Amino acid sequence: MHLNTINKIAEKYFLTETEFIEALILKTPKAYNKLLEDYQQKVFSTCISFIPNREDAEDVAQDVFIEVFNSVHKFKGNSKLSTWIYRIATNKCLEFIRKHNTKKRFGFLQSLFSDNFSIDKTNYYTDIKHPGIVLEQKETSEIIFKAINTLPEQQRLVFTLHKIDGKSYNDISEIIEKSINSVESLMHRAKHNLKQKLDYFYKNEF
Amino acid sequence: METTKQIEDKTAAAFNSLDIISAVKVSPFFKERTLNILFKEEEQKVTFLERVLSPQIQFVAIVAIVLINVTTIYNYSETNYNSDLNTFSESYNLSVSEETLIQF
Repeated sequence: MHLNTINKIAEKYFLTETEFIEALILKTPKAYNKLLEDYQQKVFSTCISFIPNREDAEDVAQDVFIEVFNSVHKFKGNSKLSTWIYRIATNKCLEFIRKHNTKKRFGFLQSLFSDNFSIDKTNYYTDIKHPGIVLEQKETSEIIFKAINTLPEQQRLVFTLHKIDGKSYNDISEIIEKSINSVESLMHRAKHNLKQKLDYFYKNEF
Repeated sequence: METTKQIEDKTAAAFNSLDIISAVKVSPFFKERTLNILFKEEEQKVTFLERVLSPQIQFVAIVAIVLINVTTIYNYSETNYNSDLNTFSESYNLSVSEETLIQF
């Protein structure tokens, strides 16, 4: 399709997803305006499900759109655009959590080798600032978020997307490129592991 | 030590706490902020090339080259004309030396 024709279409409206993607590749401001209108809430909701802090979740959501902007030309159309965007969002969130967990581990090692030995009990999920969590539930939520953080990555991913972000097994299977059976199995294992962790925590609470 | 029932209740409450998390709206300026970042970055990428290849820069470069050439030629012809003429005449024995004048 001729460049000018695409620009004209992009400026008016986008008839199909292919045309919309072509406009995104051309970096048309109108296309990105529409992309943000359509996806800002969805991407942010996914981010805040993984990262229970508004500022951090917004920063990660912003990174998601920057990634879309820089690599939409690599999108091959094997999946829906929304699935591809959610895939970027989940990867960015896991990356963020991984980075924080590494920092935490490094902090712990530092404390081990420093003169005044003390185990750093602070955790990214110790003081969660999720605006959707009511004050009475804050303590309970912190405990379960901490427990989710200790799950293996794939289980954490499936559990968070389904239980907190409210995505269907079908959507999750497309995002993580696994069969629905695998998603169900991961979800089952995640629930089982979480229950064990929580039982152990409450048993040894006092 | 808590009873098994109490522990089960607490675990169930922890799971249920996830169901009552209310939806959070993205901040109202998120879209504008993100669009600014996206297109500011793109502008910066483009302007570097544009700055180098812009017609104004090309015009200034041509004018500068022409001026340098004109100045060089002018200066060259002013300062070196006589000395070059002497060198040329000496190398082809065209100059009239004082000794030759005395002999006659």
